[in-house]
Amino acid sequence: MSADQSMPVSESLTSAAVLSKETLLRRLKEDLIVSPILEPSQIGDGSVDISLGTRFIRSRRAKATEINFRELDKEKIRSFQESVVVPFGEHYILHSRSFVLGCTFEFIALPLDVCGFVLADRPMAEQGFLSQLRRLSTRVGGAA
Amino acid sequence: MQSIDQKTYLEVFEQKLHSLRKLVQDLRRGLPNRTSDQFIQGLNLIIDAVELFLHQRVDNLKAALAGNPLELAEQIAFHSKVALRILGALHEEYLPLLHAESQRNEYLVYPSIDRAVRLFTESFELTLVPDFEYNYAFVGKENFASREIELLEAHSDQGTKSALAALRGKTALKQWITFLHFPVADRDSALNLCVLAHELAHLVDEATKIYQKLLPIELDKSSFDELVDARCNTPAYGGITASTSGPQLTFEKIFTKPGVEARCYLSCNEVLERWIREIIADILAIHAIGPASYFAFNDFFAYMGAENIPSSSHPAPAFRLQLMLDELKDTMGYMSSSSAIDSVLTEAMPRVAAGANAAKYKDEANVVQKTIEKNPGKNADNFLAKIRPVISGYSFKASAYGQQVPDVLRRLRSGIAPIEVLDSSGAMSPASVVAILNAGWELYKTDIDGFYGEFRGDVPKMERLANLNHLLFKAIEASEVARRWK
Repeated sequence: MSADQSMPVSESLTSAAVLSKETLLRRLKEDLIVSPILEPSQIGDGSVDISLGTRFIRSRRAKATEINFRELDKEKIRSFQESVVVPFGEHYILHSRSFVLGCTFEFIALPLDVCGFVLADRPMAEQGFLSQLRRLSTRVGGAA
Repeated sequence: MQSIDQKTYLEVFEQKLHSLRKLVQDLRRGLPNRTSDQFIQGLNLIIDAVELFLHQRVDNLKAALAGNPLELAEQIAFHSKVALRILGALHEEYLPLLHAESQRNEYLVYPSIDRAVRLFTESFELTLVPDFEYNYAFVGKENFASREIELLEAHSDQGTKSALAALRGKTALKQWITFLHFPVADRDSALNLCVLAHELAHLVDEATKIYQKLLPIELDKSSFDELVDARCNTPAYGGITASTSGPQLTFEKIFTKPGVEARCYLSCNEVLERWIREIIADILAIHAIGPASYFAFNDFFAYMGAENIPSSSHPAPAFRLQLMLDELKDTMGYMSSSSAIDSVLTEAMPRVAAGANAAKYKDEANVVQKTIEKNPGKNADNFLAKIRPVISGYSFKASAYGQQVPDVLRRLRSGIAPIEVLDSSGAMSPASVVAILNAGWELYKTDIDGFYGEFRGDVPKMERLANLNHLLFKAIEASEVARRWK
């Protein structure tokens, strides 16, 4: 995560810096939202460890015979998806060659002078875990 | 004359038994882990008991009626029919609850509800049941499986009785198996689901027997006498007056005045007990979650299109709302400032009071209303004073509202799920569920347009409201995890 509080946003982007642990701790009490933080050890220099949430969306393959990408819209996508909830602390078993959408357990909202990336740690990335930020139509934050 | 072969009943019983067990198993697989465990164990225990009951009876009959095959077949058929009816009742009454449970909201509000109830009783299992009937309801079964098996024992011979008693003693279940029904249409609305606090209060009332401390209450004499007189003179219809000539037959002529009085006394007390239990739940809920309970009920009555009239089970809606507002004002310290929430509540007072005064009462409802109105005056011995001590340690008074809600509301207003807030020591700590719910209602009632204004793009209004509910659910779920983790 990087920021420069003293400069306007446009200028700070050119002179961005990684937030130290100390700054992260301070900003988390002010305007940077990564919540809840269950363990202090989640916060490091320039990073906050986050975890998978309890909600997943998976495809019901039996519901779609084929996918025509040109005709694919939100409704069509939802027609072959289903939502799964895994209570906190329990397991979701992702079998090989299957795909599931998850979201972070933490609610994330960044102030205008901070940007960040949601990255998979190396062992997970090697297993094919992809992360992507979802831009929402509201100021409501969150990572998906 | 028997149209059905007597042997069929026993065969059909075996089939039904098998399919019922399989259904329970299948429904269990569809539920999240540890959900309704006790209820399912109880169901299986009852099914085992019915099987044991019939098999023991059949064995005994075979021994006793070996020389009379016709009588034996008839007796077996009779007992099979009894067992089949019990299985049928289990199928109809209990399995829909398990099926509905698998449809519940994906957000995990259950842990917060569980924690709240544990403040009052430990020995319970709670199941949330989404219903297609637009209503909230509480169904509590005390000693669920044992009671059902005891009914079978009462109709059993000595051998069967001991076998059933042994089976009953094999599994110790929680004292209370309870179900909270809520409208499936409300499953994604944290705001509307606040009505559940009232249903949970019914469980607290059942477990702590508050209603027993309040009853009996002496009925209002003048309205009761009026009811008795009216009933005495009521013409007895419904086939009793077949003759068109002669004097009109009245209830008094059939039952005598003391008889009519006794019936009125019973029916009034039945209504009184139900209303008292509703008032207990209303008062407990308003203390437990503060103004959120009032707002949720206000919207619930509107959503139902409820007429402002009492029923045999519930007082008039406006009267209930008035009791809630009075409790907020007189006992909990609300409406004493110019804050946004106090303004909304104060504004509601005259409207609700006018509604309560305009409610029409007749018959038993009139007697019960007069009886209740006589009681909740300002004297310390009234029945509301007996309810308050149960909840006093957890009452969400105006001072608690002022301390907890503004920080939560600030985050919510900015579109942030208010999971944690800064506590007095300067550390982040989980927001209270009650503060989250009240912040949601305050935002909804006082500045929802401001919240809708935070959205960019063409997002329908109801989608914006759905977002508010998502934020509330997320905050409730994650704050509960954080609380338990720490």
